[in-house]
Amino acid sequence: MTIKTTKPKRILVANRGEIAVRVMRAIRESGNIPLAIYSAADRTSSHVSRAEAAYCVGEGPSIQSYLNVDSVMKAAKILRADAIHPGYGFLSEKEVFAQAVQDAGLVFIGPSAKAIKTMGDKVEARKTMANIGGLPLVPGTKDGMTDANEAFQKAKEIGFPLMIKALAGGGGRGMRLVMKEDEFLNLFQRAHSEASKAFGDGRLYLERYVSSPHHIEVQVIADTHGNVCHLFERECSVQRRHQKVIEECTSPFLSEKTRMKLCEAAVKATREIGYLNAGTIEFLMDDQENFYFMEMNTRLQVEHPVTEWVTGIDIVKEQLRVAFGEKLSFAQEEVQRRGHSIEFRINAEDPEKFLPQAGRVTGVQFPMGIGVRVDSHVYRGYDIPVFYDSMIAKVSVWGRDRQEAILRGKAALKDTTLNGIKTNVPLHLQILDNPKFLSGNYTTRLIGEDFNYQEKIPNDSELKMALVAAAVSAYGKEYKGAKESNENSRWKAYGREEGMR
Amino acid sequence: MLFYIRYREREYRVRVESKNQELLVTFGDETEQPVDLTFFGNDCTFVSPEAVFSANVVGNKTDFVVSRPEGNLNFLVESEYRRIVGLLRGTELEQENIVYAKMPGKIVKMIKKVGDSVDKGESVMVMEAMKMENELRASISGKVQSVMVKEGQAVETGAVLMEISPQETT
Repeated sequence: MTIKTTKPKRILVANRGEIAVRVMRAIRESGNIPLAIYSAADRTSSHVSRAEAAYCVGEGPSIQSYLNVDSVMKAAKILRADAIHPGYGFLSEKEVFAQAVQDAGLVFIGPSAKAIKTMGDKVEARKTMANIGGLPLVPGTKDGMTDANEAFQKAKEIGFPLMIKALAGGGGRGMRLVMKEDEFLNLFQRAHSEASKAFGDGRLYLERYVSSPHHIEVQVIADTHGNVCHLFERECSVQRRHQKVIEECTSPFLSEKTRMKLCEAAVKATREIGYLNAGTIEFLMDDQENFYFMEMNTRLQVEHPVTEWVTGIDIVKEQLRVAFGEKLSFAQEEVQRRGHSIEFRINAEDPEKFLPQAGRVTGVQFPMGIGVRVDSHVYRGYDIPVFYDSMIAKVSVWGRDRQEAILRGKAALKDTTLNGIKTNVPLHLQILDNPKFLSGNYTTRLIGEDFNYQEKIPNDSELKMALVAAAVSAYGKEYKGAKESNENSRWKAYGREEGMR
Repeated sequence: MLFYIRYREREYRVRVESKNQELLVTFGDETEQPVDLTFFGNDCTFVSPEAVFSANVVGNKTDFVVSRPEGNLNFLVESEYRRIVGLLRGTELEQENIVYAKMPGKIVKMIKKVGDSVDKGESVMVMEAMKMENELRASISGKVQSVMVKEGQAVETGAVLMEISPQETT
């Protein structure tokens, strides 16, 4: 092992929350200096306290802070940053930001602005990946359209069912499934207005609908010395409204033969398009294991921990190496799969209605132990701001095989308590009991079709204990007054417990 | 103290008492039992040889939420006292100027009489319940307007014992 003797780099993490905390850890570990930005609403977020210097970039709403390129660049200057890591979301896939970083003479820890631009335009991305990268595409239109009648003609050629997707889209907005021909015009108009509102770009494209697909993605990473590697695939089919809920590494569905074919295709495409740094190529896969290129995410993914578990490679540290012109620390043949990993996205939301919840976290207990990892910025007393994503933690587990990972996941989730707010922990626990999920052969239709969340009815003994607990709590409240004024009263027992508060 | 707890269309009765620093619980028609249950803030740990139950219990008036990683249980918790007062007065609960009996017992000593001034939190009478003497206190400052009980009298849960006319702020 060689100890680095170069001067530490000052690296600004242009993000917030759990990912900022996670990236800063890699920055420290690699001997560099983490710097933070924060919005006025995030002053007390733990990513701020973990940095060596921090600068407020504006008010709570993202558009006035984390999404404001000028503010972030100003922060980089004030904090004397040498490089910027964008995390995921916010400015991570904004070409203008990558360009601004480059123009300021700083290192952008990610791909080139050009690659971000190409992959950010869905139609352009598909063309590039098909023509240059050699990846198969789901049959569909090549260009974005705004004219419903023109689109309708193309739709009839592709056949139904089909998907309408926004060119500038993401997160399911501007996306519609059209089952029958006569629904097309109406749904096209709705997708168009939704996309216009959400992205300021109403252009839509059409794609044949692969019913019951798997969402499988390949993690790739490339350095400036011509090394391109894959870190295997992730199964991300547990989704709700196109939002990932649980991710696995590797996919329990893929055959070894397809796995190799898929990963090699991803590496080849990454090399052919001259991509640098970490990226994720997302594929749709049908039940025959045919795969089609969907899109490429030109950034670190939320679910990168499952890949890190299975390969033992710290993806963020590799991103830093690559950005500063070093070689990847490993060669493809050294990347070994070991065991199985599952990640659970813990959201502050009502598990039944999936409504996000803001509020104060009055108590926190995260799971610990062998094969358990938690990525989070939440602590006791933390106020969840209303302005950002509802994801407040990621619990990921590793097991020697999928079975062990599932059991470990269950144990870890039962050790996860976040008081004062509702979370989707109960949802995860129920998915881990679902036979379809357990079989490993599940598709993006799992939630909604094979699985529906139901409030769990406790058994008699659990209910009895819960009722007694509630009654004792109520009893304590009734006698609070008596306790305060009469130290030696019969409420002493309760009073003593109260004194521990 | 008896609590009526509603959960999913059913009502459960749980009686909680405290004696010699021990919590005694009677569940429904079962016999009274000591329970090992501690609270740290709102976090409750209930230990028994059959099971250990950990949960976060948050109560807001009558709405109680018992949360565990498996999910939340929502209870409607009403004490016997509140229920009786509620029945007597429609939905209007507890008036601040009235001293009520929170459980059945016997008035053993009157401290204040009609016309006396009382300060908020001051003892107005002593009631014996479950072989313990308990001082009843005024919730507001003012003058004792009327007294409905006398020493030695037995009272039921929810009984009105004393009325205080609030101090006029001049």
